[in-house]
Amino acid sequence: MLDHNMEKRVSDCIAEILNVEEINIDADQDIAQLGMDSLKFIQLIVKIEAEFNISFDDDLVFENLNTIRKLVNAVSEKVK
Amino acid sequence: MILIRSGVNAMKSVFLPISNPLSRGYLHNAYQLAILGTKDETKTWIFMNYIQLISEIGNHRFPITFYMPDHMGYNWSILSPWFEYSVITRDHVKQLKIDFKELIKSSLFNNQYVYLYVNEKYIPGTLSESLDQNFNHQILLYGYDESTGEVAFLGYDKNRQFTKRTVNIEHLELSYFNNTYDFEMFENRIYLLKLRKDPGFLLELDLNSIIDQLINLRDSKRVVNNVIDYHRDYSYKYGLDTYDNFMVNLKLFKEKNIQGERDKLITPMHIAMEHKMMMIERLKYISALFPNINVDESIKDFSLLKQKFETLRNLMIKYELIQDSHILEHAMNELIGLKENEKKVLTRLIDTLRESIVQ
Repeated sequence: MLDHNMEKRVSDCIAEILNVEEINIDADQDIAQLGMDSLKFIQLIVKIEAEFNISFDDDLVFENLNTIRKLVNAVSEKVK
Repeated sequence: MILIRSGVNAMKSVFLPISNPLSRGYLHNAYQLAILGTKDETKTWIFMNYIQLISEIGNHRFPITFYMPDHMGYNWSILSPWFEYSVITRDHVKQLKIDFKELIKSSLFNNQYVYLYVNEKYIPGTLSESLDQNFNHQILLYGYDESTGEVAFLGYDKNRQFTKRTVNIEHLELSYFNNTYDFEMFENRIYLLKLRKDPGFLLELDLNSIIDQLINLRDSKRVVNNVIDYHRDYSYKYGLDTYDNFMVNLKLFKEKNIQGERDKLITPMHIAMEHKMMMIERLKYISALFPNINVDESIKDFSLLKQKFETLRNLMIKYELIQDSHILEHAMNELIGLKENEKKVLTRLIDTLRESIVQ
């Protein structure tokens, strides 16, 4: 189960990077469908790091973090 | 493909075919590959090139680039034997009072792509347009719609994405004449390029040639395909040694002695990633042509390398955003290991291809 509060905060970060009000996508859908490219992906990573006061590992690859679920799981690991 | 609408006031439009290029890091590669990619037969030429890397020592802007010199020794050429081309200079256009707009339109309607340098300040969607600043850059035109006066082109947008867009032909004319070149000799030219139905020769995929180039890449051999290299007194690094020049840039950024992450860190690392992507596509092509050659392990090797270089590219973008020197240290350590790893991966591939030829 996803932490809904965390899911909302991650979704808000995605919306801000994509410059939209809110995003409407399932937790397992690829966020590339929303127009997330490699540059915006790194902007999102930096945004999420600041939001949760964490630091992702250096092996940043889009396909490993390309859904809300993967992002929330990665954040959960870091905030433990 | 040309579409002609009928009627008394018939308006014409033309959109020449364009594909997703295998490399987008530098425009001259992207444009060439975007055109060539529309024709399957060009794959042989593509995959027998784009193997070697080159880097000019002391030039921090381009530490990793594909080695694609033309007959002038110019590494930024768009030309290929698959192009039938004509060239006209801006001086000639001015002196002979050639109507620029008619030249562009007639070329496109004649199935010729148009490649030239313009001032991006006048090109919609570019960073220079949004900042209202002059910037001399390449552009490739591939279509025109007479009903709107819009010219279709390919190029980077302000978000650094390689996209198809349009520019009004009046603005295009402005961008062409209100432009100051950086290198007059190479940029004062309009290339009219037509993709040939047949290059006039049969180019079969030559595994021996590919093996030779892979050895050059692995061993960082000085490749002298033209006299220009001699004249410049070998001021280049080749092959995997280009990573050493990238390492120099990492150190300079760490010492805060250099600026411009995009040109000096992000794009070169993106090219290194595309180089591995291109190698994977090359191996798939070899595998399809020669079913007896098993390069599956090498495809896995290069897929892993591609992912590692993608990670480094992403870290360079992150460094641009947050300026954390820890990222640079990590990249330096990674790159040393990747260079050694790629040597081993190349040796395995070279051995596999050699054995297949012996059999």
